[in-house]
Amino acid sequence: MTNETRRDLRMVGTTTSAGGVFRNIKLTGESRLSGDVDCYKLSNTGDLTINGSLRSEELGLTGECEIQGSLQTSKARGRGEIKVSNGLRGENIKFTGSIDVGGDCEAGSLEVDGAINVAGLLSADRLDLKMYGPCKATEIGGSILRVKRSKATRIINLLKSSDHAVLYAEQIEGDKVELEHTEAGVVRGNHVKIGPGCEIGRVEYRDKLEVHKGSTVKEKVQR
Amino acid sequence: MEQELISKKELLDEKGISYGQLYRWKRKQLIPEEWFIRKSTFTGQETFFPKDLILTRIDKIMNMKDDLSLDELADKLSPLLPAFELRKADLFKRNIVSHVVLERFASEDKESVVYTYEKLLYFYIVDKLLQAGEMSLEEGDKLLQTMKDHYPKFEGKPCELLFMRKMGVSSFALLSVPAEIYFETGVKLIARLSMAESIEHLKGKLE
Repeated sequence: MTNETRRDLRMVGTTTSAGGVFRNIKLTGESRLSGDVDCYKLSNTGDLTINGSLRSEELGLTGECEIQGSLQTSKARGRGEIKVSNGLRGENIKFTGSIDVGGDCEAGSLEVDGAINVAGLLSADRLDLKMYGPCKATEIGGSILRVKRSKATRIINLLKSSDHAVLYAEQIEGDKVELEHTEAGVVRGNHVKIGPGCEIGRVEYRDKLEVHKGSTVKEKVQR
Repeated sequence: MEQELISKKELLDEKGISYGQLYRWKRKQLIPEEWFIRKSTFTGQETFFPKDLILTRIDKIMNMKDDLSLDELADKLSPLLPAFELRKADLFKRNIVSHVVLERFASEDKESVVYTYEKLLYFYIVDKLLQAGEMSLEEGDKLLQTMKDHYPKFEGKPCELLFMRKMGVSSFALLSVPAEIYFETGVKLIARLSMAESIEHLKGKLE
C-alpha cells in the first residue's frame, strides 16, 4: 500500500465524486463514485453507485448499492440490495435483502436473509441462506452449506402468491449440505440432508443421506 | 503432449481433502481459476483439473499450510512471475539450465549480469525442449526471440507455448488458455507446454 495519507470522505445529498484511495467513507443520500474505490471503511445510507470496483475492509450498507466492477471486503453488514457486476469476494458477510452478483461470489462466511443470485459459482466455507425470494446460482460449493426457507415467507406468500422462495442450482457440493426447497441437478457431499420441497436429479454422498418424504431425489449414489 | 486430467472426485479421494478445503483454497487463490476445467459427462457437468499441476500444488499446500497462513501461501504460489533474479554466474554454478544453453544464448552477457525471472524462464524452457531432444539449437534462437517479443504481452495471464513442425519447417506460437486449436493435416505438434507450469517448475528448482 502507498504511504500517502488516506483522507476521509463524507458526502450528503445527491453527490458525485471521483473514486480513489480513502480512509473512511461515509455517504448519505444518493451518491455516485465514478471510478475504483479503495478504503478501510465504507458506510452508506441511501443509494450508491460505483462506476468501478470497490475494495473496503469494512462495509456497512443500508439501501441500494450498485458496483459496476468487483467487490472485495473483509467484513460486510447491511440490509437492502447489493448488485455487483464482476465478482464478489469477502471474508465475513451478513446481509438482509438481495444480493445479485455477476461472476463468482466467494466468501468465508456468508449469511443471507433474503435472496441471492449468482451468475457463476457461489462458494462459502459456511453458507447460511434463509430464502425470502427466488435464489439462483450455477454452482454452489463449500464446507457447510445450509439453505432454508425463511419462516416469514408464509406471511409474504399470503400477500403475493407469485415469487416462490426456491433455490435453483445446477450443482451443489459441500462437506455438510442441508437443503430445503431446492431444485438442483447434482448434489454431492459427505453428509447430505434433503429437507422438504426439494427436487434433486442425483445425490452423491459419502457418509449419510437423509431425504424428507416430501422431496424427490431421482438417483442416490453412495461412494 | 496432451495434458492429463483428473476429475474433482478422484482428486478429493486421492488426496483425502474435503470439498470445503478445495473451495477455500480456490477462494484464497491458491488454485488458479483456469485449472478448473468444466466438462460435460454422462452424469452432468463435472470439474476436471490438469493432473500434474493440481497434484503438485495440493502437495505443496498441504506441506506448507501448517507453517504459513493461507494468505501467505497465496503470495508464494501466485502465478505471476516472482520477483526473483539470479546472476549469470550463479545460474551456471547451480546448474539450473545446461551449460550448452548458456554458451549458445548468453555468451555475450558478462558473468555478473543479473537475469530477471522472465529471462530465466525463457532459458529454462529452451533448455527443457533442447534436453528433450525435440528442438535444434537454431530453433532455440527462434523460440527465445518469440518469447521475448510476445510473452510480456500476456501480462501474466495464463498462456501456452506451442511448437509445431510441418515438412521440416518449424514454428512457435503463444496462445492464451483455455483455447482449442486444430491444425491442417501434416502439421505435427511437437510440444505444448503451459507457461504457468514452467514457472512453477522453475520456482521449484530455484528454491
